[in-house]
Amino acid sequence: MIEIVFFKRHALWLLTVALLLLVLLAAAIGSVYISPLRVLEILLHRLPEFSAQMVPDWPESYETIILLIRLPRVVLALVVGSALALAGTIFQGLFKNPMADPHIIGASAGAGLGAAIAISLGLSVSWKGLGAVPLLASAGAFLAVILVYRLARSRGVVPIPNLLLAGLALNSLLSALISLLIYFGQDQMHTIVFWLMGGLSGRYWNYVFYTLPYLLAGLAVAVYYARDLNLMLLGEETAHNLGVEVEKVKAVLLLVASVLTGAAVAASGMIGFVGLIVPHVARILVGPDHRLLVPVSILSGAILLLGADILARTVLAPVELPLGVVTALFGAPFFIMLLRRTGSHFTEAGD
Amino acid sequence: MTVPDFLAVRDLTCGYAAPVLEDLNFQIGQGALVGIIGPNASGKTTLLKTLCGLLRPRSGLVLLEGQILHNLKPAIRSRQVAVVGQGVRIAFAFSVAEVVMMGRHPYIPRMGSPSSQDWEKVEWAMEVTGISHLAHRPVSNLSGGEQQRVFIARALAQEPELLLLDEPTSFLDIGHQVEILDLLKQLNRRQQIAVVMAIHDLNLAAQYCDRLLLVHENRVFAWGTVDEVITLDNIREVYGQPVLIERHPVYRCPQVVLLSRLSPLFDRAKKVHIVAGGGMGSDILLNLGRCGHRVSTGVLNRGDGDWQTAQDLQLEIVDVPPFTPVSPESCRINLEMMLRSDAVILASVPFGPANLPNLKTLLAAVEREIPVIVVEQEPIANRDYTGGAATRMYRKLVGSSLAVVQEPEEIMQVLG
Repeated sequence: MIEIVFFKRHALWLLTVALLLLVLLAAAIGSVYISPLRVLEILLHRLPEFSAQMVPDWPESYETIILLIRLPRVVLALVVGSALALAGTIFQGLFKNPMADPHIIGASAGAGLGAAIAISLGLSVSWKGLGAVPLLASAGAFLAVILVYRLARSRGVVPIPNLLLAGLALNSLLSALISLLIYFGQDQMHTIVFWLMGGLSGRYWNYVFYTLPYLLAGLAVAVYYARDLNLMLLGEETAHNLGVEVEKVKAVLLLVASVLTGAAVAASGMIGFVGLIVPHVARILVGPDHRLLVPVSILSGAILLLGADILARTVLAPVELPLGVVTALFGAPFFIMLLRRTGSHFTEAGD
Repeated sequence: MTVPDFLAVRDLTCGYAAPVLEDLNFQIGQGALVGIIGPNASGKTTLLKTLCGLLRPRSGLVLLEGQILHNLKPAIRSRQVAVVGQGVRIAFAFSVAEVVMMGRHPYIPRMGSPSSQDWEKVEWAMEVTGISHLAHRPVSNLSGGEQQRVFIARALAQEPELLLLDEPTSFLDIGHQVEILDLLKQLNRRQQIAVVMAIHDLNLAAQYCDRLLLVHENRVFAWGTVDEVITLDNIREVYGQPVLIERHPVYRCPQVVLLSRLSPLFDRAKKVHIVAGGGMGSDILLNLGRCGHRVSTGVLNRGDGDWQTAQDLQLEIVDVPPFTPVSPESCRINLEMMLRSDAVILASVPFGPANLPNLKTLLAAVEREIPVIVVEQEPIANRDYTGGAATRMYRKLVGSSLAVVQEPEEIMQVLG
C-alpha cells in the first residue's frame, strides 16, 4: 500500500528515468555492441552545448549505427507504444470496460485493412505516400470502432461480453477481408504479410516523422479532455448532469483513439495487448484519474514496447522475432488473468 | 422569498420513441420539496431525465426561472440543476473528495485546477452531508447509504438551485432512508434548494414532501398538497390495491396502510353507517374501516372525537357545527345514508337533547327494514341525559334490532 502511494506521487519522474535508461540500453544492443555510456556520449555530442567540449574517440561507423539505424527504431518503439497505450486508455475509459483494447475490439484490424488497402494501391511506394497509410489506417480504425460500439452497446453501457463478442466478430470479418487483399494483391503480398506480423525492423526516421504528429495531437486532446473522461467513468448520464457535452466528447475521443491506433498500425503493423496491459496496470498504480493516468500510460506504453522490442531482437539473435508475437506471448496470459478476475477493481458502472 | 414559478412545465410531453408522459402542466416554487409518485414504469424516471435536460421534450417546454432549460449551455445548466441518479454505483477507486470535487466541474476552467473556493465548497458539501471523515476513502468501498451521501454531496458542490433525485432511498434500510430524507429536508429548508424526487414509498413521500405529483397512465393523475393527493380514491385507483388512509400519529400526515388482496373480507365488503358521538364510536370506525367495509357516520358535531377519527379515515360524514343540536336537514341526509347501507350500527353513545334526533332517525331506518346492530357497553340509563326520552326510544330500537352486542369486537361476527 505504501509503495503504491509512493509510486503515485513520483510516478512521472520514475517512469521518465526508467525510460531514458531503457533507451540507452536499446541503442546499445545489436549486432555490434556499443556500451550505453558510449551511446550517451554519442547522443550528447550531437547537442551544440556539449559538442565543443567533447572529442569523439569512437569510430564514425558507431555514429551511423546509433543515429541512423538504432535510434529511429527506438524512437518509433516509444511513439507506437505510447500511441497504443493512450488509445487503450481512452477506449477503456469511454467504454468503462477494462477489456477495451485496440486489438481486441477490432480497431487494429480496421486499421490493418485500411493500411493494407493503401499498400495494395501502391501508396507506400513513394516516400511521401507514407502519409496515406496512416490516414487510411486511421479511417479503418474509426469505422471499426463505431461499428463495434454500436454492436456492443446495451442500455447506455458496453458490457464486457458484448464488447468481446462484437470485437471477435469484427476481427474475423476484417481478417478475412485482409486475407482477400493479400490473395489478390500478388505484387504486394510480401509487403503486407511481413508488415502485418508487426515489427519495427527497417523503420527509419521517416516513419517517426509521419507517426509522431498523430501521437502529439492525440496526447494534446486526451490531456484537454482528461477531466471529462474522469466524469464519463461515472456514467454518461452523470457526466451530462455535471456539464460534460457527452456526445461531443465521446465522438472526439473515439476519433482520437482511432487515429492513434491507425498511426501505430501504419508504422509497425499489428501489435496487440499493449493497449490492454498498460492502462490496466497504470490504473492499479496511480488510480483512475486521467489527469495522471494519461501521462503515466504514455510513458509505460513506451517502456513496454521498447522492452518488448529489445526482447524481440535479442532472444533468438541474430534471428529477430516479430514484435507482435512477443507482445502476444506476454499479453494473452495477462488477458486471460483479467478475464478470470474481472470485477475486483474495474467492473462496469450503472444498471 | 419564494418564486412560485421557479420551475414551470408547460404542455410537456416526454418520452423516447413513444411518449411516456403527455400534456404535463405544473409549476414548482423556489424552495419546494416535491415528490413524484406513481406505479412502476409510470414515467417517473423519464420525467426526471427530461427535467435535468438529459432527454429533450417531444413537445412543450421546461422553464427554469423563465429560461428554456433545454437551450441552456451544459456548463450553465449544471450550475443550476444537480441530479442524484438511481442505484448508481462507482466501481472506480476515486476518493470521496475526488468525487465530490467532480461537482465543481462546471466552475473549474478547462486545463485549470480547483481554486481555494472550490475546495471550500467541497469541504462544506462533505460536512453538510456528514461524510468529511470519509474524504480520503475510495468511494467503491463505501456502503450504499454512504455512497448516496457522496452523490448528494457532489450535487451540492454544484451549488444548484434545483436538486433532482431518482429514488434516493431505494436499496437503503429504514435507518438510512430516514437519514437521507432528513438531510434532504434540511437542505431544502436551510439552503432554499428546490428538491424534486421520484419516490415509490408513499408514506415517506407523504411525510417529507410539501407537494406530490401522482403520475399514472401517461398523465398527471393528481398534483397538489399531500392531503389532496394521498386519498383513498386516488391510491386505490392508481395502484389497484386495497388500502386504508390513516393519520401519522405524530406528524398528522396521511399514511397508506396496505391490505392483503387475499382477505376474504373484500368479497363481503359492506356499506355500514355508524351512529357515533363523544368518542364512543372511534374504535368501531377504525375496525370496520380496516376490514375494508365502506363506512359512513353521522350526525356528528364537528370537532367531536369520533368526527376527527372519521375525518382522518376520509369517511363520509354528516355533521353539524360544534355544540349545536342535530338539525332536521342533517337528519334527512343521515336517514338517506342509513337507507343506502347494508347495516347501521349504534355505538354506546350518551344521549342528550342535542343528539336525540339521531335515535329518531334510527327508528325510521328500522321501519324501512334496515338491520341495526346496537352496541351496549354501558346500560342506557347511565348515558341518558334527556330525562327518559332517550331510554324509551332506545328500548323500542333494541326490540327491533338485528343484534345487541356488548363489545365492539363482536360486531364483526354479526356482520359476518
